[in-house]
Amino acid sequence: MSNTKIDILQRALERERIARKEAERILEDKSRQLYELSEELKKTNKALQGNLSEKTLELQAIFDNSSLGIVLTKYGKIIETNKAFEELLGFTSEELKQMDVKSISVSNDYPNSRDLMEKLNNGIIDKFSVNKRYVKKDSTVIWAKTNVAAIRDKSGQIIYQVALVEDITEDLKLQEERKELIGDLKKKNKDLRDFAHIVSHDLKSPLRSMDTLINWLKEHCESGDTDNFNNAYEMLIDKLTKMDSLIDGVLRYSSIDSVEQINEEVDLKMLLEDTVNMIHIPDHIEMQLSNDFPVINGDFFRIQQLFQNLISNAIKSIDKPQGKVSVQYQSHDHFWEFSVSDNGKGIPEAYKEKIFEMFQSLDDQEDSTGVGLSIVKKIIEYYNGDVWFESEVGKGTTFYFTLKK
Amino acid sequence: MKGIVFTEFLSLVEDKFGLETVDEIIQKSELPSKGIYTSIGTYDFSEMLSLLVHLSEKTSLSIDDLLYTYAEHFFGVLVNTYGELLSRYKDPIEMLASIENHIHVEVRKIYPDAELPTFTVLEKTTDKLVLEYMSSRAMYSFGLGLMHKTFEHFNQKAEITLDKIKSDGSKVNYTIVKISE
Repeated sequence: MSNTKIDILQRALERERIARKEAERILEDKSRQLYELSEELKKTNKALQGNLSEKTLELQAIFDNSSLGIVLTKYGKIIETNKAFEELLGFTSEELKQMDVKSISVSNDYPNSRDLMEKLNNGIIDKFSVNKRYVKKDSTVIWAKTNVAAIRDKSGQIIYQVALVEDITEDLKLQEERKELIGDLKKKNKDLRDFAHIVSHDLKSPLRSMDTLINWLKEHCESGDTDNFNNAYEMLIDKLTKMDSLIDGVLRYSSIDSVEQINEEVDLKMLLEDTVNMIHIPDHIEMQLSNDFPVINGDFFRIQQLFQNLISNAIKSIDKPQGKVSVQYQSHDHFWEFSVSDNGKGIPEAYKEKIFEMFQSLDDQEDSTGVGLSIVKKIIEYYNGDVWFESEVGKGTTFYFTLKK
Repeated sequence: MKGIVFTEFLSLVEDKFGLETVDEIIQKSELPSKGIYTSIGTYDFSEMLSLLVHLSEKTSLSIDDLLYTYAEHFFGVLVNTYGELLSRYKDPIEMLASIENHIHVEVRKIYPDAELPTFTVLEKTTDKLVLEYMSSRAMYSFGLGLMHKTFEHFNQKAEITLDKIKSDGSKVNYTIVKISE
């Protein structure tokens, strides 16, 4: 081999040798860099894990100690619950994890919250709040305000739904009581206004007539006109009687719910016979009573007032030579239904709404105070019953009312 | 410039013209690296230019022809090394059109300091592609070799014409038209 060739080969070899060393150095460098990078990553990872476990502990503490019930669900299945929720429903965590939301919901409430849940799952809404009922382990039911939010991953897919559950049973009960109280107060206020109305208007009108009559009496007395004197005198007595009965009615009306509640057995057959004897029934009116009336529980005096007012009204309404008043009853599952019907002049449509209000009288009959039906209504309300009527002008009226069994 | 371009170049020169030619062009070029290259190193582009100039003198072949032949060889290196990347393409036009937005993006992930030419798509149909090449290195013949090999790789043929937009070849348009058989 020529020297030149040997030189060339030697140079090539030298280049290869150095290149190999260079490559080794570069690789060495790279692997050192990689090592350092991986050490740094390890450190970062550790720090991140530390942060994560700290956060996890914090969240766990909030979850465990929250006074609100917290439930994690996935498409209706219960995944995780906290102590507050378990205590709220009386189930253990293990029992709840075997259940779904439907099985602890009241079936009537479920469709509503399921619809909202579907909207949440479809991304139409991101959270919602409902008041719904939950069934406890002992089968009792509680009301709870439930706030549900979706937990999504980075791509927007729902991983869980989280619900915060707050027992509002007591709140609702208080609200209900308050509502009832306000209702009572409103009614009492209205009664008071009605009273003021009597004093200011209705009692004044007979007083004014009496004033006029007394002036007449004075004039007739001075002129010695005995015929007219006697006439005016009779009318004055009438007015006094009317006023007396008015005051009497007002007293009876106001005593309905102020008297102590009496709950005794009342034999209605006896009560009705007694009542009919008490009322003057003209000869041309035929009274029909059902043969057997039940024995009910209530206050004898109030129930008698009830029938007495309705029967008196029926008798007063009769404008025909042959009158008929009938009292009947029907027994239903939870209540009695009674009816008092007459073949009187009937109630015009225009009075339908007003008829139960105080001092609403169909006409200016001397013996009508307009208190009767308001007493009827008040007694029936007192017993949580209903009252209504059917009527045809010229043909007659039937009043119906119910009393709870 | 990545070392693999130098090592592959010298190994091709050795195959075609012998170790003496390799030795001669290295000696004449007076290279800072002394012609010692490793595929994982990085070297100055001017060294490649010196080597090319001296090889051209020695062989009486133009630099463009040398680069074209080298590109044909280099495509094989790419197929061996980055076959997985190439296999994502089903069509040579699609592949060439995505040099800038896909292939070069991947290259930069591996070699963050790589200095790459830009290839802008000026026109593209299923059978035709007009690409604008821009690089201070003016290695458009290298590109041309790679393009022909790309079509060969997909068992297809194309007529590729080259328009120098700048006379130094730093901006060139390739018009690539698929030849249907």
